[in-house]
Amino acid sequence: MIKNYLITFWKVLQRNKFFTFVSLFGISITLMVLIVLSAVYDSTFGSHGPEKNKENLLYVFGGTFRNDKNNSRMRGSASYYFYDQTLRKMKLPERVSILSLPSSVTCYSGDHKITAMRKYTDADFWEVFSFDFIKGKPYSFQDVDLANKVVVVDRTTALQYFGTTECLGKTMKIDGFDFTVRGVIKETSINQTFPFANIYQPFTTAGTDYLEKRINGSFVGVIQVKDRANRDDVKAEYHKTLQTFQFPNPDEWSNVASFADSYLEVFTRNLLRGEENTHIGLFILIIVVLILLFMSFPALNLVNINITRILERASEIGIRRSYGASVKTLLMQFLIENILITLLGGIIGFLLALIVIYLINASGIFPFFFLTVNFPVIVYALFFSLLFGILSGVYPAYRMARMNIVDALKS
Amino acid sequence: MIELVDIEKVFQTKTIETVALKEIRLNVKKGEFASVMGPSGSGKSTLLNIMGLLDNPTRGDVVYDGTSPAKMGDEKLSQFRNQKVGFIFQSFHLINDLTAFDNVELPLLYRKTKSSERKKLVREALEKVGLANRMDHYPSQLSGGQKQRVAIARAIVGSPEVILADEPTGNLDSGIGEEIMNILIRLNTQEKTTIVMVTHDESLALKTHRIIRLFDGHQVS
Repeated sequence: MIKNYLITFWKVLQRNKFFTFVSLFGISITLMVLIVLSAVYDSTFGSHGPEKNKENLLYVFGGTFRNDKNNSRMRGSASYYFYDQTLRKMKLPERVSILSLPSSVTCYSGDHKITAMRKYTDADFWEVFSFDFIKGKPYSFQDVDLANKVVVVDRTTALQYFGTTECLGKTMKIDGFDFTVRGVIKETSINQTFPFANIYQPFTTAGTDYLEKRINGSFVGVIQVKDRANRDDVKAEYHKTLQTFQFPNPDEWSNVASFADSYLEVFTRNLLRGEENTHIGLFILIIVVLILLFMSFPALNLVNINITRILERASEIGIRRSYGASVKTLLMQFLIENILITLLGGIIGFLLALIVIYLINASGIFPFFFLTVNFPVIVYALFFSLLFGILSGVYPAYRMARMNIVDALKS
Repeated sequence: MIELVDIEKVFQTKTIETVALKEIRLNVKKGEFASVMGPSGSGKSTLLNIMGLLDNPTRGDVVYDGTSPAKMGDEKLSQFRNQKVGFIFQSFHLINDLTAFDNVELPLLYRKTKSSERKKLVREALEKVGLANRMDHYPSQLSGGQKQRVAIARAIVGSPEVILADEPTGNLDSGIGEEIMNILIRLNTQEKTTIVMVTHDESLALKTHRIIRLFDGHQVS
């Protein structure tokens, strides 16, 4: 039976090459876009690069600070002081790191101007995240305590500044100061917001009073849990710790809504402006609806093409029905044929996606943005192909299978 | 074997009602070779379609050896048709994308028949119609007579109890038509296959056991 279906499928493809081309073109382009977007999703939310153990990390992106007296509020990142007084008081986490958001910095190698993104971190940062060091190692707890002027740079910055990655112990001038290179790491993609930067410095070299008792600032926190299973306990502990936080100036800010979230929760809470609620369900619903809408246009196009092909195969349907094919059998046959063509389109789309991803990575059109194709993306590709095949195949298959036998034979 | 009880078929459009068959009472015995004759529009093909369970009567019943298949669901009815009935059409109705072998194999695909058994039955069927040497040919590579012989092989491959042939020689010249008729006669006499054949050709009809004549949807003999 399968051989018969495959032979018929292949012959139908060849019968009207224009229809086949239009079908495959529509499917492959649609799936190419979806696969590239899957790669973006996986690159952003999956466990990659320095966030290899993302499922064991919780992120604290500041919060919403409120003044209960005059109802004013401030939403965003917070000061080093805030995290020092909250995250570092917790008992359950394996480790806690306080780091700044990346900011632009300009340094000069001779006359050559280099613009890079810099991040201030503590020493725990290098324990929480798993960077791939090409050369050297991270700065130590002692370096941070002593505010030693040391840096870790990524490979691109090392090549831009020194012309080589063999730069351990060499100095680079940043903000008028000489910093010694301790280590060189592989580049991190910019969509890995928390670990991303080109230059990393101890926060004690920031030149500002990071321990000043204030709320607003440009720092965020990351918590490494001992076990994924006790993430909820850690979240609860953070919430409890916030209750004991002493606001340095209650006349300015007296209340805070802040959460230890998974990366996806951070994203959805900030995107959808959720205070108490992450709105993760709403985000997923929006994504699903957008994907279905995006797929529906080419799917409808394919439905139309498939219905047009019904007339070409009406006689065949009549013959098969005459000889014992039930409606269900025919429905399965045509659905399988449609899934085969969408899988074929999916393979073409996947190859096109690989080309697009290569071009995105190689062109540098999105600075510091890297995509990879790995197993989850391949699974997404297969899933979308099958979904597309079913969406675009069910109705035409149903119409074909239920055709009146006598009318089908006459056509 | 096949009993048609008070069969009536009315085709209804928005504006016109056409009575294709009226008060048809018919009994086809096992091993019989009956032909159905009548002018164009007398309801011959409609009668055959109803007999072959390809169409439902507006009123009345079709009974196969005491069983009324009309009451069956689509799955059971399809299986019943597959087991009991073989069709031969005037326009051959072969699937052009499949070889002669694959066309003949078609009815067996809708049964739980092993691949080796299917191959054996298909070869035997093609040998019976004298086309064993053409099994890898496509319909476009066959003459009209050869196509009809492939269609006959397809009709008999599953050893159905009855073969319904709708003007099997209608698109063939008299010489080839004669060959086809001889195959059908051989199937009836040697294999005891029940055959009901629609034909316009009196000379062929006279070779059958009985002639059923229709006129304006009525059975006149």
